[in-house]
Amino acid sequence: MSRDEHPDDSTLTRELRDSLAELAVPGRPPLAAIASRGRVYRRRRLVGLGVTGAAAVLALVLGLTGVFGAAPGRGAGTIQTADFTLTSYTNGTVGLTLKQLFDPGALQQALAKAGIPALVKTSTYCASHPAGPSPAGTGVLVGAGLGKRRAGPAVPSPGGGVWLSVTLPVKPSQLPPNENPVTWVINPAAIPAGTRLFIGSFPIVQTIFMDLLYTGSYTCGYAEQPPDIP
Amino acid sequence: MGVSQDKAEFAEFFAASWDPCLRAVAATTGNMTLAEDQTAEAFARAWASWRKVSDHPAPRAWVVRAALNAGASWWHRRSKETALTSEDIAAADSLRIGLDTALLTALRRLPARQREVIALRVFLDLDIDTTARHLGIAPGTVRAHLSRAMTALRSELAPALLTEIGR
Repeated sequence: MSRDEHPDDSTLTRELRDSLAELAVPGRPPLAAIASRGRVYRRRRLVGLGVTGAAAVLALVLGLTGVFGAAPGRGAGTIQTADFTLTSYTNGTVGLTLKQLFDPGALQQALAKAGIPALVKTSTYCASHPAGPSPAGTGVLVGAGLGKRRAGPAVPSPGGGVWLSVTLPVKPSQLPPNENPVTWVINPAAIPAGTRLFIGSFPIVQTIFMDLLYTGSYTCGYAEQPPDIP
Repeated sequence: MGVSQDKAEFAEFFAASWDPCLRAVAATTGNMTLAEDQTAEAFARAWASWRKVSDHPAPRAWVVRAALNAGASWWHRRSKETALTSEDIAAADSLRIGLDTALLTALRRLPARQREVIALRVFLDLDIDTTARHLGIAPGTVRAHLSRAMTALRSELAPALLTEIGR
């Protein structure tokens, strides 16, 4: 018993140790089984070091920031959030994959970093007066003007915008596997001077609407769906 | 140090330490089946990091603590799945472990850190300073945990101990 222990502790310690000594334990497993399992741990550790090292080198080479996020203004690399993935391609186009849209401000900022002046809203319709040029007709949306899609047909609206039926979560509690991302390819160089790309999400009617707005003359208002969609 | 010497050293350590480590883990967790799995996992981790573990001042303590840490995760996951009272667990596990139910129940009621101190200081017979170094806390903190744990155990086990001492 040490000087720090209660006088009764030696009895209690003895009791605990005696109980332990009486404890029957199963025989030890084969050493080969322990070594085999140990090799798994060793591999995991080495793989972890390898992945970390490779990611660090890649980030240095590409000059990326954050989770492979593009450095501001450079328009290179990928920006990924829970809502979207934005990828800048070497030909100057930008891929936008949308899984959900609960933070329109974050997408708007990311688009700006990728060189795309944009206005992103949810349940809000924005229109310029006069109407802006068609994003499909100007080549802002690449590939038949509409880009890749995995849900519903993309349809030019009478007003020149493009709308796409989507199946995106309307509440944050609606998590994968119900996710059904949609992808567009946007060409920033084709955006006419004095305009910006409007991206409107209308969850009630499961629609994404895109249009070009004249920066100096547009208005916005609450809407459950774009008014010019049949 | 060569690979074959490492292997021989680990084999020797494993043969000599399996029983005491498993006993310490089993008595602390109160579940022999679980303790056996966790101790085996801890030895596998020790095998994977044997250079480091062999340089440790108390390799058995390293194994016991690795096993108890794995146990904390297991119990954390399990507590989300099924709400069992400590009495339920102790009553069921005492049959498997062969230890006194009162002792098991008392041990299980201690906070995790106090159980760690009991496992290292009492079951593995480490001194206060080594226990403190291993847990990364001050020796005075080990004494405080030990004192509180012993007080709680004395209180819980008083009738049984009095019977034992009176024989």
